[in-house]
Amino acid sequence: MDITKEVLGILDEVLSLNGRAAAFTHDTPLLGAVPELDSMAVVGVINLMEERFDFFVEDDEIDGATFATVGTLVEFIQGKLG
Amino acid sequence: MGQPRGLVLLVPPLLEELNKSRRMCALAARALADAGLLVLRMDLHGCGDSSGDLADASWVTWIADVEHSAAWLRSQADGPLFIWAVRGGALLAGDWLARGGGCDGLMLWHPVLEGRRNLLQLLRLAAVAHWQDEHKAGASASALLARLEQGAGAEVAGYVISPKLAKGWSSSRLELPPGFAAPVAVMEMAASGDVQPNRALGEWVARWSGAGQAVLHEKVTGPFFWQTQEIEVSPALIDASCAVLGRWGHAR
Repeated sequence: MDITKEVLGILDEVLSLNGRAAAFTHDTPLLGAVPELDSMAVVGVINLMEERFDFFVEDDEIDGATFATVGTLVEFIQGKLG
Repeated sequence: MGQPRGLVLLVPPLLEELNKSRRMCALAARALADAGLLVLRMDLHGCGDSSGDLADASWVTWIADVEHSAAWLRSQADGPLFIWAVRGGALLAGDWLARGGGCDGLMLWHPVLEGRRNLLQLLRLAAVAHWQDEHKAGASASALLARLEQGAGAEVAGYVISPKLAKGWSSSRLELPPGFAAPVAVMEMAASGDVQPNRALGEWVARWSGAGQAVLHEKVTGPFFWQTQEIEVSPALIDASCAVLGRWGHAR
């Protein structure tokens, strides 16, 4: 499974980016840089990650730093899938 | 309209997921009505356009709302009664069936299997709003749930949740009552090109199929409309649902 591709798909779907996420790289900043990513959207992304990757996110393992960039989000998922 | 092909009760998704799903539910209800089914889009107490405050709602009163709606629908016309439950509405439908409710078919749109996870996903809204301010975890979703379980209320994104509501929701799991004989259809949304179905849903279907229950598991490609920022719709899910309920209903 290509986790980065899955993550970009989730971001694109939740934020309704209409394909813009396909141009994102690991260094693309997210929180504070993508205007669509408000707290409601962050929750949408977490919830959809849970559905797609079949894990459950405890709130003490995720915070703003997880959403710093595409890369930090991918690393978080890699860690969860272990 | 003459004799309907069947009666359809929409048991809606819960709170914020309902907010995101209204358009999708309205479009599907219209399509089902056009296909000759009599459809009722019920409101749960404190949700939607009906009177009543959410703060006064409990899981038990919501189950009673399903019962009242089913009874009202049955009083309108003869015909088989189908329950169309969306996300967390499936939990309510299951709990209603366990308490003596009955139907002739159960169509579940990407059903929630565990209420606790569904409630935590809502409570996460409060937690994340906090960490965006402070850039650290403050009021966590599990801390909020713990407070609810201890009998305090909580307000999340404008939803005032009572401990009575949280308790029933959190402890609800999607089950079918013993001897349930009506057909079940699980409609799963999948991302485009996504080859991996949802494991938990697949296991649920396998468990009940193995127990002799007729369960149709249909995967539909489209957006997770109950979760997206913009209001999204899935015409493919509407078509698939019309096909399922059309098969179950009387011929025109």
